[in-house]
Formats: sequence, C-alpha cells, structure tokens
Amino acid sequence: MDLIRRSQAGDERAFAELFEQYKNLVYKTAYLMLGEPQEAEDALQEVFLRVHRSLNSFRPSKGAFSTWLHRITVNYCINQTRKRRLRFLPITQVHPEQMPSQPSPESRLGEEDSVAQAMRDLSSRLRAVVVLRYYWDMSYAEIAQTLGIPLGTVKSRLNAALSALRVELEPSASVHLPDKEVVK
Amino acid sequence: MNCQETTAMMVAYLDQELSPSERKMVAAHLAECDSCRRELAALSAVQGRVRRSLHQQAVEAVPASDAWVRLQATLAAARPAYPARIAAGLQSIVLSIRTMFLGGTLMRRFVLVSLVTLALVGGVVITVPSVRAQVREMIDTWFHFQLPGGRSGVGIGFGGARQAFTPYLPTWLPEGLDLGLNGGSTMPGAEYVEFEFHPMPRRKGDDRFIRLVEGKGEAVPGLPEGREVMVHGQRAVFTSELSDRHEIQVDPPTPAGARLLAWYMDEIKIELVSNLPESDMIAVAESLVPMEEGIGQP
Repeated sequence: MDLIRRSQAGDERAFAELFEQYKNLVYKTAYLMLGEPQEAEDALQEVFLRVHRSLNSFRPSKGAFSTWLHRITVNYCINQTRKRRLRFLPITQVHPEQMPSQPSPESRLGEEDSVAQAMRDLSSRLRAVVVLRYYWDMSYAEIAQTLGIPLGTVKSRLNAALSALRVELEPSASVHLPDKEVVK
Repeated sequence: MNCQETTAMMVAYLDQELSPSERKMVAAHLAECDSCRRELAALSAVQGRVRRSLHQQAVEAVPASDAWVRLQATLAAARPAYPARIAAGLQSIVLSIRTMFLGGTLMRRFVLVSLVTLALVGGVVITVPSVRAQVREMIDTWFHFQLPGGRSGVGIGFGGARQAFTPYLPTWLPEGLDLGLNGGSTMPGAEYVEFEFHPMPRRKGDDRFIRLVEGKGEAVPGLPEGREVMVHGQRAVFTSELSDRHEIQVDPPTPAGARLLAWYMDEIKIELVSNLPESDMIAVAESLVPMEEGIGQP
C-alpha cells in the first residue's frame, strides 16, 4: 500500500516498483483474454499508462489495488475484442479456393490447444469470468467486485461459459443452458 | 429440485459457491439422479481441462524484458515540465477560487475548505522561489466562461500555456440544475476535465444530474457500442452500458438508471452521463461551446 501511496504522490521509482510487482498480473490476464503475445504486450503498456494517469482516483477503501488493476485490464481486453470484431478482410482473402484447408487428423490440436481454441470462441465477457475464476482462483464475490456485476451474473456467466466449452470440447454432448444471458 | 434447476447450479456446486441449503438440495438430487451425476462428472472434467490449459498457457506468457523501458519512454514524453503535485495542488485551488467567485448558493464548508487549501498552498507558493516561478508560468492562461442564466465565471487557470485542450461548457441546462462539482486537468498526461451539474442547493427527491467528462489523447478509449444519434453534426452513441467508463473514472460511482451519450468534437471525446430524458441530454450536448480562452491576467 505504501508503494501505491508513494506512486500517487508522484514518486517515479515507486511506480517502477509497482509496475515490476504487477506486470505479470496484467500481462497474463491480457494474454489469456486476447490469445496473442503482441496484443498482451500492447495491453501491458496501455493499462499501465491508464493506471499512471488515474492513480489518484484509486481509493483503497473501495477495494484492493489488484482488483482495480484487473478491472482496467479486463475492460481494456473487452474493448479490444470489440474492435477486432470490426476488422475487414480484402475480398480476395475470403475466396473459397484461398480458404485454409481442413487440418488433417495427424495435425489435430493437442488437448490443451483445443481448450485454448474453444476459449477463444467464447465472448470476451464469458472469457473474463473463466480467466478470473480458473486461473486467478477468485471467488465469485471477488469476480463480481472486479467486473462491477451482480453475483448472480457471475454465476450465470460461468454456467454459460462451462456449458459452451463442454459442447465445444465434446461435440456429442447435449447441454441445457438454463440462464438467459447471451452466450456468444 | 428437478434436473433443470440442478444443472443451473452445477458449476457453482463444483466451485463450492452455493449456500449450505442450496448445496444440500443439489446433493440430495444428485444422490438419486444418475443423469445429473453424469452431467456433473462431465462438467467437472471440463473445469479440470480449462484450469490445466489456462495454467499451461500462462507459464509461457511472460512480458518482454524491455516493457518497462518502453513504458518509461512514453511516460517521459507525456510528463509536464513542472512537478505534477504542484500542478495538481494549484489546479484544485484555482478550481476552488472559480467556484467561490460564481457566488450565490455555495455551501459554507466548501468555502472553508477552499480557504484553508488556499492558505496552505499559497504559503508554499509565496515562500519557495522555484515553486513561485513555476506557478507564475502556469497561471498565464485563463478561461473565461458563462453559465446558463447569464452568470459568468471569473476564470480558471488550467495549467498555463501547456494546456492540451480547451474544455466545453453547456450554454443550456434544464431548470434548476447548476454546476456542483468539477475537477480534472488539461495538462499532458492527465488530459480530462469533469463537471457535474445537479440541483443547487440539493433538494430532497430531486436526484437529477448531468456529469460531463471531456478527454483528449490516444489513451482515451473510442466510442462504445450503442444506438447512434447525431450531436453537433457528429455521430454520437447512446448506451446504458456504463462499465467501460471505469477506465477513465472510478470515483464517484455512477448512479443506477444513468445513460451515457458519447461523441467526439474535434479530437476531444465528450461523455455525458445523466438520468435526464434523452431529449434533455441531447439539448445539453448541442448547447456545448468552448470556454473563451484568455491570455495574461483575467
């Protein structure tokens, strides 16, 4: 906490230490959300720029610094994913003859790769709760505080995410989706 | 409890996130339902695979060794020539002076806080020559402005000649609303201002408010998704999804029921958050004009 107070007071050395201490939190979250090392690097720079700019608006009484940092990181990643959705391809790139061929059985994805691929097919909001829960081991209450959403929404998003992942990983599985939230 | 209700609680059951009574109900159903037990086992296996995959991916995810050097270079390019703390201190004083000069319906304690702040920082400014020089440099640019109702402000120093942009203020406000809070900085590296308008004095049962955030720079995120409208001939977006605003402003929290109207005026991003009807929000947005900028003493 002393590090944060010193950083808020404009101590650059303290901010460097803060970066060192929390860079993995931001980078790993961004990497798991965005899936590309270069995009995770960009996220690390952008998130810490935002932190530097708005550090004085951080109030320790309202939650842990890591919660605040996770929130900024996840919001940045969700925004990036939105932008990505609007990326256009030149028309020649979508001609059928230029489409990549189906992978052969020999080049099938390994188990962990197939999970990573299935994760990428989730919406960014669902991916966020999965990363916070199953990588960072946050409780549902911590996830709710980090994302600023109700506890019930955390439950329904995790349920939707796991059900969607199950369908993706076991195509024969028929899963009932009980919640009303948009899954993808 | 039936199968559908049990399925809805399975993930939370596996995550040990159910209340004792819910847990008991789910366990009772599982004890007598083969199909749900199989479903639970399948979900548990998926959870395990997801955990393993995330941890395996994360092991390889390490930031580049020059990450800090790059960030430091960006921060140095954006850093103002004078110490940020002095700038922030002066800014709060100048903003306080401005609010005092507006006159009329000021809360007594705010005036008191302003005077104490003024006395404290004023003492430093007068007694430390280097600070005095920096302060003189900072206050040579002023903003003159007028609020709806014909009242004019005396002026604001927004960081001297180094200000990054000229803020906008509304020339029309719904009846009874007035400037309540303000803050921010137009200096490079912290380029945003925030104004809040609400009933002055506060009236019980009247929770109307308008929060106006204006920011500049590449770090300000783009427009959110939402319904498109036109403001000042520009594409603007209306949305009730406000979570993205956390990136800019964490405090104060946005009251429930508020909506966001966001657009760009030149390079300045404007965010108008309010619980007023849409027509009033657009009317306020359309009435924005840049503050009149003055050089030298006001």
